[in-house]
Amino acid sequence: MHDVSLSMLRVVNGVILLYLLAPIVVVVATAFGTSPYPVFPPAGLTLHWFDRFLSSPELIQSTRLSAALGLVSTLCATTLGTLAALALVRYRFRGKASVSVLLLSPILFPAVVLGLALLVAFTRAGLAQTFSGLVAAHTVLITPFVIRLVMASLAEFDSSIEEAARNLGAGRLRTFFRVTLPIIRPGLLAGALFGFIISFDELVITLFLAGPGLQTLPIRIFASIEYSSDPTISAISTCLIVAWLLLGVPVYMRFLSVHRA
Amino acid sequence: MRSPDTIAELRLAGLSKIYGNVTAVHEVSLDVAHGEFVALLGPSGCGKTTTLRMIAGFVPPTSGEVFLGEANVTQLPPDRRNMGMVFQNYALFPHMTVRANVEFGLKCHRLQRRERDRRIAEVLDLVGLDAAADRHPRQLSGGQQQRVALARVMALRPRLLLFDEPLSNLDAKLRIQMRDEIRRLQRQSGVAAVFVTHDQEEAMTMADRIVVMSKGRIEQIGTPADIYDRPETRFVADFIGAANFFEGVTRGTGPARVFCCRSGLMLPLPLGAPDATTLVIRPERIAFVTDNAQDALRGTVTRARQIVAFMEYIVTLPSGDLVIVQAQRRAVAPQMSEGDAVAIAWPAADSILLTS
Repeated sequence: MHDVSLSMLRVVNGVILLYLLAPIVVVVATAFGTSPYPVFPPAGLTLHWFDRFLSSPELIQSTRLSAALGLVSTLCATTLGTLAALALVRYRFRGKASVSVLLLSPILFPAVVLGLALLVAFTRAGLAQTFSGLVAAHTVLITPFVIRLVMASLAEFDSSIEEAARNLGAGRLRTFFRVTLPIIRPGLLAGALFGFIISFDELVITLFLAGPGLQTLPIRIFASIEYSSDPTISAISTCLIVAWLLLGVPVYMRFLSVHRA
Repeated sequence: MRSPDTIAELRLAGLSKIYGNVTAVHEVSLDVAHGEFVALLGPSGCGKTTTLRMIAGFVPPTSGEVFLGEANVTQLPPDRRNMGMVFQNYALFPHMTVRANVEFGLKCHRLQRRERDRRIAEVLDLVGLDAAADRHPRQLSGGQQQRVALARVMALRPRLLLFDEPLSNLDAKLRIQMRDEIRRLQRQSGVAAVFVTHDQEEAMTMADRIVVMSKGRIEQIGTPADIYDRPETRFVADFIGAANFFEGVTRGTGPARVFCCRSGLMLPLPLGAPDATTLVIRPERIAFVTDNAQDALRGTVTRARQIVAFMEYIVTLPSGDLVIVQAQRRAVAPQMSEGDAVAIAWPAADSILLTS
């Protein structure tokens, strides 16, 4: 009986994996095809579309912009989010529940609404169509994820460990940097990783705030699909997948996997 | 000016903690002498842990003061009090090795590398964990983790040791072994200790003096013998060990003085017994006697059961009173069975008289 249900489980798992991964396989495959638009299975083999991507100054510049935007926003969001999570978990204060909902609300708002709201506010503040404006907007968007994940780490954190540090002679700062921070690191890194990914492929809000010199990679891709559909986009996607495999997965395995020692 | 040896190592002066309208600790005053081991004993919620946390500096008192020697430390943050605390759940740093856990405090106190290494070796040897220096806490058993926690504070040579129910997460055998070990280390170092526990046996076996607490107040302070043989309140008599309680009044004078229970039972009193409203007798002070013995109370055994090394009987008296009697299990001693008609008696001097 167990054998039957086990093999059923394997089949179902296989189908789900196929469903999730098949589109990625298709995209990667089309990036190597010779035809001027993405077809699957690809006819012939070429690296032409990769060359198109890597030799296009606009695309490279957009990739750089998206990476910079993602890194700076993640840095801001991780700092703010960690502090907010600490306050929400550790302290009791008036209106704590409301503050908690408010801080997590950007996840709940439709991106279009948030984008419009930020455009109106940032235009008045002179932040629209600036890099700082984009950083501010992305920080708003990803901070809730950091808060959530850091709060989860803190919830299972035994605060007597911090008291032990104080008792052994560590001041508040040393206790935070030597004890609290290393222990909540997995949640923090998870938050940062999610934050970077969300920022890197954010399109809707960015469209509202981006200016002529601020074409992020998602905006560039979105625009190029409108008038052409050559496999350069597949090549870009393939590069992103490889980058994720090389950078993201090791971080994920090291700090976030379920089987962590 | 007081001479150094009359100054208490730790002095609590009228320490209180009020949360909103709940009084967690009320006017606790206590002196702990050099090298003394004092247990704070009481049921959960009695304020013993809050008191300990006020001593350590984690909870600011609402009123009252904490003195360490002559210094008033009430306003000092926990990291500047020079007290070593061992926590219930060990509170080891999970991301550091045993060695790094011990070294943490030494670094905080800016000790030189050589001195740090010397002290780490010394304390790990003291707790028998030299071989585990490079392991992480999660690779150690509960007992080993508690030894690391102990080593970590001993390395700093603190002025005072604080224990917050450190043995309650260990299994029974290990708990008893660790009692001796903690006491041995504390004696060797000569440092005064305050030990919080809800386990009366732990307090009895470890402490020089016991502070019994209830509802935020100190009920009684005394040696284990004081607390058990001469409880001052009904709470203490009831909380420590087993006891039979008789409610009533003292009547008569001289040799005719007796304790009249509400049930109508008359109990003998020692000469010169003060007025009292409660008479307490410990179950092991009561003996089975022959019917014609002096002051014998006749009754029937209504329950007999074995509790590890002794027998516990419940004897029902004609007055309706139930009396718990404990007797050693010996080959020659008579074993009573349920339904047996018996006579019991105890020396009048063993009766404890209370006015509450």
